[in-house]
Amino acid sequence: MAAAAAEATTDGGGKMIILISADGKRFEVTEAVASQSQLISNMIEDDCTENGVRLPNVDGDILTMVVDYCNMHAGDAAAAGDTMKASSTEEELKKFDAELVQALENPVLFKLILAANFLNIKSLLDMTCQRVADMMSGKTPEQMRETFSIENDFTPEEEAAIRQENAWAFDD
Amino acid sequence: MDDDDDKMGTHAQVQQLPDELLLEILLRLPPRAIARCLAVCSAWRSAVSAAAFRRAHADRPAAVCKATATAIDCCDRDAVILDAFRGRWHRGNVHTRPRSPRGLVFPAAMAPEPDTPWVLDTLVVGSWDGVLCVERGAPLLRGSRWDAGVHHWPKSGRLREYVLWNPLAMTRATVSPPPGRGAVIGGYAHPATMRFHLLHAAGEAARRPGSLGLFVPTVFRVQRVGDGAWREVPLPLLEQQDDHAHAQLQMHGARSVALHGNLHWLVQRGGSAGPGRLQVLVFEPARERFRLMEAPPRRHGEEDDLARSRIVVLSNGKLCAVAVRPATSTMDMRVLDDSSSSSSSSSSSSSDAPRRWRLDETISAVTRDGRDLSRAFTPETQVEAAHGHREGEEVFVRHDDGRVDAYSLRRRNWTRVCAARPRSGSVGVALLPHRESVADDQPSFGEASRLLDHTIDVDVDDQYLSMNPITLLLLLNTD
Repeated sequence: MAAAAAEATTDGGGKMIILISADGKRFEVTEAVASQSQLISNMIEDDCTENGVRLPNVDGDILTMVVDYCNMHAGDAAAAGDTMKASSTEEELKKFDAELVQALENPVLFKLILAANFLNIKSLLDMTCQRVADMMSGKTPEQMRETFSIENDFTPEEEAAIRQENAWAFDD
Repeated sequence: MDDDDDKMGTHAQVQQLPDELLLEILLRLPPRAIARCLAVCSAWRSAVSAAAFRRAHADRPAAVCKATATAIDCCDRDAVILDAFRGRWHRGNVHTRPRSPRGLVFPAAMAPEPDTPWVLDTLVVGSWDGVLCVERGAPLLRGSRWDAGVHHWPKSGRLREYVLWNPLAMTRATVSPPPGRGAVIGGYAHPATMRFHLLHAAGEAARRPGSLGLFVPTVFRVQRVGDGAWREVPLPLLEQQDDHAHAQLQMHGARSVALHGNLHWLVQRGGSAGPGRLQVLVFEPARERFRLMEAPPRRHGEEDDLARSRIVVLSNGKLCAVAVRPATSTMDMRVLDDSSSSSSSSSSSSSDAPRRWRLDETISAVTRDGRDLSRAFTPETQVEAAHGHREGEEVFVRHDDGRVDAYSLRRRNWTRVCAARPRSGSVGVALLPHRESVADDQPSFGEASRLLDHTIDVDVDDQYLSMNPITLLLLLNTD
């Protein structure tokens, strides 16, 4: 069944590719969608996607998000040079992106970053890293430790010295 | 991938991100947050202090900021107000979180003489390594700076000074200019000491038709701010084989462009035979010396025209020369393929490939509402480039009347991004590529450093400045 699906084509004529997550879930996507991942794009060029692409580093629930993202953005790259591109589409994309990262719990967000890095999807990596950065900015060091469950391994003297040296960053 | 599989488990946390991904995140933080990361844990302190982080941060594309110099009628003061404008790495207004003063207020300027129109004498010169430079007592007439025929500059009794302002560290310093006609042409924080330096050129007006605003530098000087003394730096050597007809350099008022730690200006060889070829003047702060490098080749049958040429840095870290061509209502963008920047990337190009300029794009200078920007282009017109978060790469043109147009390289069209025309005479607008310096290596003004901590709230009744009221830092004469 997998082999048959891997050879299937859509109505539009784009070849289909099967992505297989670490826990064995299968996702059928067009080449255009999949090749937003530079990793998969290279595999398509090298003709080694015939039997599906195994992604042992990416869980099914994370891959679901990645595939959703890529489906949503498939038209994006193609239309990048198109001046007539409707602004509503751009608005929709913006909304979709915001909702995708906003709701995520920390561990899921970090897994998404790792997946975007592994699959080499620049725009997704960019967006997820920016999300973490947005969570960090405006916080005190204590709040950052709390947000990301980080242990404070400084002695009180060390921490005081760092604050002293960079006093401009710590006054409110 | 290697044996990282376990890290993808249920407990993925920020500590388990590989170093390069932590770096990706930290690079996206505003400077204040970066400094706070130093105090979170030792792993983050190492990451932020690492040379790799410093280098990556220094190579981030700068944002384009709008700096507006204006008179505040109500309290008889001059102000310089800084707005984040656009930039991939600089979302929104830099002043909103935390709320911080958006500008500097200067003591009352000298009252205008009864029969002369009020003219602003505060000029925003540039921004380098996160430090803004403002000139007080600037020449009242545009283009008169280099003209020996104009006698009223420097006007006796008027204060002339450069004010340096680091909006992040809230420090400032004042520097006296060397005597005679001249201008600050660049600045930098020294790569080893982080001490801030100013570069100054003295010179005279270039004498040829259409050269208003162009000057011939005669002495370059550098000052380590805080030392109080200017030192001469030798002019670059002009090659021997060059004929005497092109024995001089001509420069225009465009500020220096910083890239890979060096400062760059577009210059033109000139002399008795008229305009010669364009070159790029480079200053290397570490060695404190100037050198010349080839500028893009001219088009067949056309003369180089410094007044209509600018250089900018694109977000990919490449130098780009913009040449405005009124004959065809177009702008040529030529990019310098820089072998040194490709060595760190995964590209397969050989590292000893020669640097060469190639024509990247010819863009139309006609806006959607039919204005031809190439015709309104003067030696005072500013050109900058920035990479907006949603907008992609854009080229900004600030016209002499203070309005700004942006050309999107992705959409291939012009948009007016700053349409309000400021009150003439009393408002000066500069576009600045502004990039804050990170964390614990803030540029230092040495002995000249003063803290700014007096703020005032001012109602600025000007549609051009759109935000009301604004908090400004009061610059006191308390030295």
